[in-house]
Amino acid sequence: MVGIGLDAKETLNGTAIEVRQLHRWFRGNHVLRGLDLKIREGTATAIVGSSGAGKSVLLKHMIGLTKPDSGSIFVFGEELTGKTGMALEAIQRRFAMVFQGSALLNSLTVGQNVGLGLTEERRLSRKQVDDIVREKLALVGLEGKESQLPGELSGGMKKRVGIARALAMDPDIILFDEPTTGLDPVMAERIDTLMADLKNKLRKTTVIVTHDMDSAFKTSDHIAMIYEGKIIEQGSPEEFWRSTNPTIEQFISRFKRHGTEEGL
Amino acid sequence: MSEPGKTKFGRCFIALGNGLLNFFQTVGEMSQLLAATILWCRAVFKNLDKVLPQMGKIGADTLPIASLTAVFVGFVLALQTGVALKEFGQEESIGAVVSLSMARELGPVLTAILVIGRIGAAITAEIATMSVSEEIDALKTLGINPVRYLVMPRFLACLTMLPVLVIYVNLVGMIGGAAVSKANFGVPFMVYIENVEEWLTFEDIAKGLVKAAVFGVIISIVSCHRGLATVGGPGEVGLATTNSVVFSFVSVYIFNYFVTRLWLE
Amino acid sequence: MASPAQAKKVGIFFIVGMVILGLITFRVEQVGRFFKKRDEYKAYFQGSKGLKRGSKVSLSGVNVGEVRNVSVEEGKILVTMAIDKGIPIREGSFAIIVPDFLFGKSYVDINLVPPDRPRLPLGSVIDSVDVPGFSDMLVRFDEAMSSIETLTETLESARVILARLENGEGAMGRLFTDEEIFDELKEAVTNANDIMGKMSRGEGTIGKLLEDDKLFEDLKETVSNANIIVAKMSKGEGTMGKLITDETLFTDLKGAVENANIILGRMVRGEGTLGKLVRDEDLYEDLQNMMANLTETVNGFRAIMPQGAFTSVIYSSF
Repeated sequence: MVGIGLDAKETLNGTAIEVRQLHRWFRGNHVLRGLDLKIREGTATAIVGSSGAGKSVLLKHMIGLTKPDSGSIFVFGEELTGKTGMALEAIQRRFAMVFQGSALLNSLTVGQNVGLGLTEERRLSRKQVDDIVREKLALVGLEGKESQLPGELSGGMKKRVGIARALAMDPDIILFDEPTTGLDPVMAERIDTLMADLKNKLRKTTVIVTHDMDSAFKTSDHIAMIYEGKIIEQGSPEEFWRSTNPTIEQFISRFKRHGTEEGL
Repeated sequence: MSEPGKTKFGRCFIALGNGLLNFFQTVGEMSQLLAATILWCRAVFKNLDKVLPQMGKIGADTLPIASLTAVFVGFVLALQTGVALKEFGQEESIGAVVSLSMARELGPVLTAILVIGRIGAAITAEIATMSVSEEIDALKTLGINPVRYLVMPRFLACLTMLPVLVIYVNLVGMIGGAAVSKANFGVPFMVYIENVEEWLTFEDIAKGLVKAAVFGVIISIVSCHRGLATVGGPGEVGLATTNSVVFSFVSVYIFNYFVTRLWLE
Repeated sequence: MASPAQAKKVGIFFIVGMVILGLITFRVEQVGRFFKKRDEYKAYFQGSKGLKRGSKVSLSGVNVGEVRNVSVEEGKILVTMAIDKGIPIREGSFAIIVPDFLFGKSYVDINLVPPDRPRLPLGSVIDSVDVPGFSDMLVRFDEAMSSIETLTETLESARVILARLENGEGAMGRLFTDEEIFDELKEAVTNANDIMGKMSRGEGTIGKLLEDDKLFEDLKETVSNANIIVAKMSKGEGTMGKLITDETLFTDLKGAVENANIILGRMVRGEGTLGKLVRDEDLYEDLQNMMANLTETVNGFRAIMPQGAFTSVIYSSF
């Protein structure tokens, strides 16, 4: 078990994101109720929990897409909450996010989608952008699909384009929102492998929000569980597997049974 | 909250208050959006790649349907006023009535209505879809300001292209009027044109064009705001679009009154 | 990402739009006039009637210039006009404002005079005539209507009085028929005449009048004669008496006779006798009908007036 102490030393030492006492209401629902969480640099953290527990909301708070009602978020020691405009964008530039529905712009081609952030940044030439796009698409196994439109792709392919788009910005932190939801097992497997590669080969800090325990165990080296607006348990996958917390036991029981059957 | 909410009157009062607060919030947000959009207009030359297609959509692509509308409006105007003017033997004044009506009022308002239906609804639907499918969030995470990327180009396109569209509409409407004057009331084209020249002034046209620009601002900001404010599922997109069109219509009518009023001073 | 084709489309759309705007403006504003040299003339009016900067100026209907300025000067409205060079404005021409209440586009019209008249010097004041506007005309028409109505009433009473006069009814009637009163009156007048005659013959001054007994006696006699009449009158015995006591009759009579004198005089000269006017009912009825028609016409105008205003509101709103 990793403690959730708030030493300043620890904050600056290898901590990518720190969430402190985060509260958030949604239309009278108290979704996040004083949530604390620390994500260390270079690790893959999976945030699990049942649907509607506030996992995706937490993710959007980390990247500054929504503002908390109270509490604060630090990114590499810098406070994100309360920042607007250019200052916020500067922090956001260190992030990339892969959305649940992949959120590709339907009017743009795959290539334009992947290169969108770079094109709009206007730091690189057209050719440099094209090179990066080709490289990132190759990384997710979609070589030569640049000129296709998102509407022509399958869900899994769209998700991979989303990952390529996130990688194109060369971020320090990549957030995944339900990366395997709605995909067939084969495609889910490919995405999992891709995410594991990102951590192992590219040394990116990744945060994965999922309720797919299989995916969580395979891709992360740290798992945190949200229940009733708080992190009730976190630790390495092994620790998580052995947890005696009844809520966690209940949550992973289905997977455990599954896993046992597979083992037999 | 629960106490007054129990009586019928209390519930009514709460609903009314909430409606009013929502309205104020919407207007406030729209003003903010307008201010932000104007600020982003400084980046217009870097974003021509997004502004030009929008200009094309609102301008050239709307022109055929706008012309069709305008020519029939010209017909009707000439027909209606022609019958009345004939009683006084003043058929040659049809040119004045048609041209002044088109330039001062019908040109800008009809074009605005057309653009609301054709462009405003499309803008809201497009941006609302982007909102509910997290594309707006995706833009933000890519370091792209949605106001710069989505709102500013549409704003500028509406602002500049609506007046240009109105110029065409005025011309086509006047031609329509001339055709009916000739066919139904036997007014020769030259007489019609001379009458138009005698009565129509640059001031009339310019006022109409300023109106059109104001309508362009209203349509773009309302449509974009309704789109960006959409939350929830795809069902909300249709709702947002209806909402946006109604809001735009009412705003255009209200502002039309006030802009016209301004010039009567 | 904007393709050149898109840029071209927008460009063409925009440029063609501007060209159309330019052409329309050129036609309606006659921009060419900006380059023409113009002469300035002035005219004073009582009211501007909606005239403003840029309003047109025409010479007998032909467009020759525009209004440069409308300003107030010593209780009058000074209108400064710019008229195309080479257009002769001659002495004897006068300017009128042609009001336009439909579109709010009034203009100045200057009438043509024969070319043998000398030209007005540049910058001089053109004579002006204030033509009543439509609403002014309505007001005047209304005034005329009410005076015509009064005239009819007077005529009516005149007719009644004249009828009575002829039948020997009333004071004046008896005055005409009663021989006795007439004789007395005549005597009094004769006596008075005597005195006057003597006086005119220079037979006495005011002093002589007092000293000369005979003259005094004569005067006395006259006075006593007059006294008899006055006494009769004061008793209110018909005739003059009634004429004095009955004030309304007198006023009626006075008005009637005044009016009647004019009208009747003409009629007598024209068609025949006084009696004919009195007895001829047809003439009276004709007059009545004419009045009814006139009233109807005026009411018709009143009914049209709000419509006109409404129409002008609609048109000007467009």
